Amino acid sequence: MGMPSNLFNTAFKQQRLGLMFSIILVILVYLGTLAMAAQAVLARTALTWGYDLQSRVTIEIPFVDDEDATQKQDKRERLLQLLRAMPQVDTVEPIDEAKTQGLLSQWIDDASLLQALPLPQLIDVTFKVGATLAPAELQRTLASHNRDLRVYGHADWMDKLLGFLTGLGVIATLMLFLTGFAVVTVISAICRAALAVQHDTIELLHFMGAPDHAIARQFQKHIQRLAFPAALIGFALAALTVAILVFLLSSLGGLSLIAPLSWVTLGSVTALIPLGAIGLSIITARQSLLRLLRRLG
Amino acid sequence: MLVSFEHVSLRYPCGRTVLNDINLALMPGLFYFLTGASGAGKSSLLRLIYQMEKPTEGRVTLFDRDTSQLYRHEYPALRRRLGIVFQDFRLVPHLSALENAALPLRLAGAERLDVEQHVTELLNWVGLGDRLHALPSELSGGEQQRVSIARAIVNKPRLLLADEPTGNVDDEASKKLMHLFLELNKMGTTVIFATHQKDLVQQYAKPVLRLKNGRLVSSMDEAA
Repeated sequence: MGMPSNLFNTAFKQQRLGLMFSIILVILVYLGTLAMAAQAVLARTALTWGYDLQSRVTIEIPFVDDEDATQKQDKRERLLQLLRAMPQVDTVEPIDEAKTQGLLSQWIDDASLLQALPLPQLIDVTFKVGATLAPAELQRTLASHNRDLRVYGHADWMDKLLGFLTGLGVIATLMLFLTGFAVVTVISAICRAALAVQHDTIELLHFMGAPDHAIARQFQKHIQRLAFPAALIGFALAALTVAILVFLLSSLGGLSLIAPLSWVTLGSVTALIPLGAIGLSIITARQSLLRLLRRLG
Repeated sequence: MLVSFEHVSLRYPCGRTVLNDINLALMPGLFYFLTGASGAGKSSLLRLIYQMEKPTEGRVTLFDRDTSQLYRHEYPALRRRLGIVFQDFRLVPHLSALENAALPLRLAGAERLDVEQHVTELLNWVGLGDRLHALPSELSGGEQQRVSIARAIVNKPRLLLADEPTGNVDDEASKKLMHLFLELNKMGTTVIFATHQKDLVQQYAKPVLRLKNGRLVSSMDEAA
């Protein structure tokens, strides 16, 4: 039989420190979970995009005025054969003219004008995993076949966007650390206030021969009882927010912009935040109390 | 020897000397009055005994242990051999009389049934058998002090320290409390009873330790 479980009720109930502690922890867990979710999604998206962009190029066969359809097709087929024979190439996918016109149709309404446009032929090429063929190198290799070919590496024109994405990920990580720091700071302050209110009780336990670790354990149990529901509420609110964001993003058609991340993975990663907040609360409370007891003598 | 002080002085960091060259030796089983005006150093002397202060000079020996040689982790076991009664009772406000008095036993890890049975008997003995579940705020000053005494002796301490225990109660309650302390002493507990009430000291033929400006000016049987 240990100490009464309600020993530290005075500070946490009468002074409303318990309520204050719970509200602050709900907010911090909510923010931390959102930051963690953002960090996980952005990191995954940046990784996926980065890989996709580095491993893909688009080859442009320029439009030539006096070429008929058969000549165009011959030129394309020869190039396709050449590409498929290359050991570093994984897939070769010609983009048909209708698809290219479809891409342009967002800006040009007139179908007859689209038909009349001198469109180049495009071929999407994906390299095998681990291939180290740079777009410029591929262009040099293909120059013997057609001097006018252009090879565009996707990474070149998406680099800045990828940098922006990575930057957002770094900000989310920073927010995560700041949230953790805020948890420790706020909990330390609340613990100090609670300990000031309960100073007499703690001193009394000390006089009666309670070992430091026993008093600290009792205090940390009290914090633990407050932290569990607060962390769960903060996490549930954050999960609800993420669900709403996903719904809004999917209804706007923007969900394809982010890399797919399973709910299980996202849930597992973000669950670290409430667990971490509870752990931090308990450790901070324990350390604050042990410091006070050491000062008591 | 239960408690001995050898050339003990205590100075606070501000430079004020609270106790100056105290020498005393307390025998087990006796009842000692510790007297002196307010600020004479009575509470500081008691704090040195229950290890909440360390002497600036000299040596304090408690239960045959030189306290300067004690490690921090040894304090709890030592303090559990002491009972302390404060002038302001120091009861936990949201715990009942029974729960307050039971605290030391619970800290020692006693079984719930044993705790309740033993503490109920003890509270009956101090005359609070019908107020077991009352909160401190529902008790008079005298009753609160009796809960405080029950809490101090529930662990059967060898030494009971009382710091102005009758300071906050009326004369009638004061007599009842005094009776309890004397009964405890008859049962073998050594008692150090700090008070500034000269009339109280003069009523009983007990050894007196008198402090004046931080010095022990006499340690004799005053009533004799």
